[in-house]
Amino acid sequence: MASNSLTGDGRWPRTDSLGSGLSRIGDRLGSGGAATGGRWLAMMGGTALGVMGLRRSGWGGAMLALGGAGLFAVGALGLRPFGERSLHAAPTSASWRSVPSSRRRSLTPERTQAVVTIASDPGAVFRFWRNFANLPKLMPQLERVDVLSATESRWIAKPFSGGEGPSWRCVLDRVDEDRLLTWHTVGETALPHRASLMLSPAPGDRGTEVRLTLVYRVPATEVAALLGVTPEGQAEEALRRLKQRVETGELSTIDRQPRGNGSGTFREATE
Amino acid sequence: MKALCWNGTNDLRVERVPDPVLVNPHDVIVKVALSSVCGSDLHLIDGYVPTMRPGDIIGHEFLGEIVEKGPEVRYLNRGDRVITVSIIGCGHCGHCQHGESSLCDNSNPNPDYARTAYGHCGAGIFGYSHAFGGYAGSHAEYIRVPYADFNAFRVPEGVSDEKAVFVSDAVPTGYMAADMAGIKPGDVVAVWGCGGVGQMAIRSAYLLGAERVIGIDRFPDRLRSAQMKVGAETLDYSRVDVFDALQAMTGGRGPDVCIDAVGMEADSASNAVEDLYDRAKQAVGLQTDRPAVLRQMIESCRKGGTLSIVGVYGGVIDKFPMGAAMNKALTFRMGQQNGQRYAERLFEHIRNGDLDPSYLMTHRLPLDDGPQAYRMFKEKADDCLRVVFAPQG
Repeated sequence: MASNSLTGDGRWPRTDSLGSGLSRIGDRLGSGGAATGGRWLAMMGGTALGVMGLRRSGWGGAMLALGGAGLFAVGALGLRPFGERSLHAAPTSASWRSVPSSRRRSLTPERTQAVVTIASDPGAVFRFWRNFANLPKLMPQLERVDVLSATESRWIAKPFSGGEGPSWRCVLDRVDEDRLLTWHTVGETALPHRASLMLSPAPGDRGTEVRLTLVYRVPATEVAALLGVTPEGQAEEALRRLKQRVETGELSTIDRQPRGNGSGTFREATE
Repeated sequence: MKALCWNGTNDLRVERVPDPVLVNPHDVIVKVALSSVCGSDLHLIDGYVPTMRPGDIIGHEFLGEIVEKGPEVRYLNRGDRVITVSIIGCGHCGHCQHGESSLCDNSNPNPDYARTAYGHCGAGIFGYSHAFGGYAGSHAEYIRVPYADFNAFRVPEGVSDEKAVFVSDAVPTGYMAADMAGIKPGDVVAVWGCGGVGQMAIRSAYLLGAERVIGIDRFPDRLRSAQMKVGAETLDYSRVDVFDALQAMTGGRGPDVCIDAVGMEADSASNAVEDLYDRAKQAVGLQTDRPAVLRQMIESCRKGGTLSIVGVYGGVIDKFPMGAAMNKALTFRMGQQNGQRYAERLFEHIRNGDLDPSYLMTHRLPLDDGPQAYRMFKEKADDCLRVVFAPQG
């Protein structure tokens, strides 16, 4: 299994996405582990009782069905009506500790990728993104992006945790018209990262598949502390907004719409 | 303005709220003339839709006059009398372009709830919880309509408000149930639920070529209305075994098409144990929806037949007879209505006299009566099929 470690050593992560994906699945399975056996047993038993109850008529059937539902509940919700040891395999203190720590590792993905299909030709999508000054419309955590030259830009984020917002300089690496755009940060910044936008035609005339990849050299928690959003959230939100901008020319919103405040002249309860 | 707000389970209040404003360039503001209750609102009021927030304005089936429009609105004008499809499409994404606007990619500004629960996010809906976008509903004097050119339809001359308002939701929902079932001449169609949507499904099934349509309910006034107004044969499921009755009526084949116009709060008066079981599991959160109608449809439908589901489900169900469905080679069609695809066609049917949904409006009341009106609708008291509010008085 590839290592997920990325903090501290300062090198670009080399974990391939398949490896990190598998490790995440492994973490998930591992965290449930032996404890889920009892829960499945309860759920299956509950189901069997429920079916038996439904097949019988009268109160006997009803009680069986109810009992089945209850037992299913115990399993599904992981309740412990008979004490700590009844349905969960009693965990050792070490195994309890190991679960959150493995989860913590998986919450710091070094590489985030979001993908969306936009009902448009690649040109319109590429042109919108290529003008980095547009990016604050897609990434609300950005104050502005100043385009300094054909390849350089300065990105200034909104302050999130007090003081000035973080900023960084970016240099374009590759510009493959309507297909690929890659860029990375240069110089000192609290958020060193590189990123790419890949466009490819969707099958069956469905438009353009757009893939945004962000690779931060700091943990996701640090990105979230400085920007107010995790890399995953940032990438997904950016593509959601890109799609809406390109397809409809606006962002769907419920901002500024009316709502009640639970009081008023006409207050009246139904029951 | 005045609006009917949800404040908790079974807690509706008429309140003073700010007027809506234009936010996006494709918005219009509609002055609401008529706004109907809908059976699906009862799921909100009964607390089965988890993403409601106190203060949310409910209501999604409405007609009114455009009083303001955004700079990018091209085809509509101030003064136009319009209905608005209750499920909001952007008009541009792949789904909207293919007539599946209830699957719109863009109109739900809160996609995270649905993506977490369903894997993907569907369209926004007026007044139908934050999982469906959190848009303010139409039980109010005014409402903001986004992507107006796509979602609002001018009511043709000669079509009254009372007929037109239901083209917002009840008529297209019933019509779509019949349309997506692929009804062929000679088909026998069974419709579970004879409320407004069920009765529109019955009428639509005839319009699309069904030979016989059987309506199933237990409320005498609804069965009577399904028989008298839209020509259904009827079954009272509290008095007969639905499976036996349907087989007897179809020469033992079963109906070719079964339509669910009930949804997640189905009861099963003919099987008290099943009903108790489903209610118990729903009460402790082990299933969010009660699937009695689905089970009955799967059992009753003819081999190789089609189930068409427009009754609303929200979460998970239990004891779903997949073996029967698979081995009987049933086809399942389902979804929220794509009214934008049907509105013009339905207005044409209304103008031709093929369809007159105005009788669904059994009660017309001021908005101030909102809480009592929903209670009456929920209890199906006073032969109530639909209450329609007239917020302007």
